[in-house]
Amino acid sequence: MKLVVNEWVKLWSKKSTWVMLILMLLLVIVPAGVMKYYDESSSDNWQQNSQQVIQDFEKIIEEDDLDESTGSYYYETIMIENYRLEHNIAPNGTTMDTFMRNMLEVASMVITIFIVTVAAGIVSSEYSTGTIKMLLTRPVARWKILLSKLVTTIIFGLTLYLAAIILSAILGAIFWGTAMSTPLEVIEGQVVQIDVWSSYFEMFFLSFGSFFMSIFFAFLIGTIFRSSSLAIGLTLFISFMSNMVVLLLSRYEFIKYVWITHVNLNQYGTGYTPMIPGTTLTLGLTVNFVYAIIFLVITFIVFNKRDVTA
Amino acid sequence: MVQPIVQVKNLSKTINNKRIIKDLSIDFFPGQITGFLGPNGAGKTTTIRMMTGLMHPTAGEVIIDGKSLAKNYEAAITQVGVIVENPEMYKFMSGYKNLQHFARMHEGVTKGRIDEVIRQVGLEKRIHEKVGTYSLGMRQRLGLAQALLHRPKFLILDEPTNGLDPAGIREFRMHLRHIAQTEGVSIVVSSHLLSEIELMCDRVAIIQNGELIDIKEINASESSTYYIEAEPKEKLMQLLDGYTISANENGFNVEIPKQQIPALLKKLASEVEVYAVQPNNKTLEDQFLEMTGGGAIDEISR
Ligand SMILES: Nc1ncnc2c1ncn2[C@@H]1O[C@H](COP(=O)(O)OP(=O)(O)OP(=O)(O)O)[C@@H](O)[C@H]1O
Ligand SMILES: [Mg+2]
Repeated sequence: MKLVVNEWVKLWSKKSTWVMLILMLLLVIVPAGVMKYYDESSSDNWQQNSQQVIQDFEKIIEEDDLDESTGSYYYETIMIENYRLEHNIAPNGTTMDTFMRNMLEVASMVITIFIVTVAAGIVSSEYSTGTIKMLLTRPVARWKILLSKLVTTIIFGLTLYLAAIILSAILGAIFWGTAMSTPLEVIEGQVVQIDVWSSYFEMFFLSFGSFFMSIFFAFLIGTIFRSSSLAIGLTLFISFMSNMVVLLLSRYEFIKYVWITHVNLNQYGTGYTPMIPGTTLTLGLTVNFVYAIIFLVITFIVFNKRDVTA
Repeated sequence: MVQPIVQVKNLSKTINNKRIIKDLSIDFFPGQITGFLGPNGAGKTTTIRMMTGLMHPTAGEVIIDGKSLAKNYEAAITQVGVIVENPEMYKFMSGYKNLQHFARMHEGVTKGRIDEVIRQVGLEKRIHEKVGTYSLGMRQRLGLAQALLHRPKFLILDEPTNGLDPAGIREFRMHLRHIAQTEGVSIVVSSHLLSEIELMCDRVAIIQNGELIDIKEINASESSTYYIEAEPKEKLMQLLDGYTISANENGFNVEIPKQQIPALLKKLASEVEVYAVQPNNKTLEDQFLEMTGGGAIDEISR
């Protein structure tokens, strides 16, 4: 516990940490201003719009030969628009919850990048500055020191999330009031209203997939190679390339059992389709979990065994 | 016989098939200051790294206060304070925060203790500045402070005076003496500076090529020649009749056992003006060079 305090103090003694926090907050504040500005210019007769959409889409469905998934998108949109007209539910422009949702999406991307930087540097920087030898000649087992660094990284990431969520809630409430949107969804042929907050938190928790896997992977590379730039580079490269690689290899069975297929858990969320047909959230969680354990075990073994020559 | 506080038993280290440390055994006793002396690349730092758990020995073990370093790391290392080569601190934090940081890693280091140590190393005025702005000697002092924080029974210092000014070295030496005598701390100081080792240590362990080749007690009786300077010279020469003497600068080198010095001085004082009497400690340096074979760095035997 004291070790986590130590790491926390060190983390916040670095300017880069504050820069990350401030950037994070700016990334919520700036879009809020921009969205508010554009919001005011667009508000007209929504019924007309809906009817227009329905007509257009029906024409497309009649004329074009659509495959299954695109076809169902048009059908569902038509169903939803009809439902709106029948029940007189206006589509909302920006509301507090849609804003928060958008911001959460942006935040989880940015947080992944920031947290990778921290996870990659928190061990390797001790090696590069030579302070590792001061740290490892204390009456504290090495694994405890490593664990304190991991825990600190995770707490830092959650702090960024919390900051983004709270700020987006405050700005959302100030700019758009506390009225919620009425998101509609077609589930099993029925139009239903979905609960705003449960879908928000579903998204939040599903973003933990890439959050934790990126931390563990960057932590592993940073510890093994003692180079933060390598760890940052490799982790971000993998997370940006993973979609492409997975699609390229999608016809092979083994890809289902590689963690990069499942890092983005949001593909299993309501209203999304998984990249590889036949994969489920359970499979995704299991695969991620197994890889997480493997990464951590390697990290801890290497750190414990290594001779320190810094 | 006093129990050794630290026992190093048959320590060996092989890296890339090179045997860097070969079967090194040595005991350290409370209140004793031991010098680690050896040419560059002899294996002093490597030995110290193994004694502090930074490196794992290929064979052999280190026992500190009765506890095996390998098997009972946390309990064994509690008793150790260490500086390995340059003390690296967190440059982006103040000296004080650095000490707080390390204090949190030990049991029972109070705020009062931190302040006390800061005073001992003479850093009170600059302790709240960032370590990045410190000079080499100041960092060295801070390094000493962190090693002393938890009142270790065993203090390991690898080239600790590197970068200290003369006054600093002197204070440092006095301080080591003080804690060795009053608190019974056992101290190891590695250096390749003979003069330093001689002034500071009770005994010297000479390491070469990864082997411990000699352990010598240092005491004044070792150096059996003394330099004596007095006026008038002729009178002095007469008084020194019976001793083997040789002219040196403004005085003479006299071969004489330490015990006879006071008696001789009494005799001299009444007859001549004595300006200087000092032991000639050249012998250690000579012995060292003789044993280690001069300056060239040895190839590591395979
Ligand atoms: N990680 C390593 N890999 C390979 N060889 C090493 C390693 N560390 C040290 N050595 C070798 O071990 C030998 C002893 O090195 P060590 O640093 O212990 O010497 P030293 O006595 O402290 O020298 P100095 O007086 O220069 O500080 C050297 O020959 C060095 O090249
Ligand atoms: Mg050395």
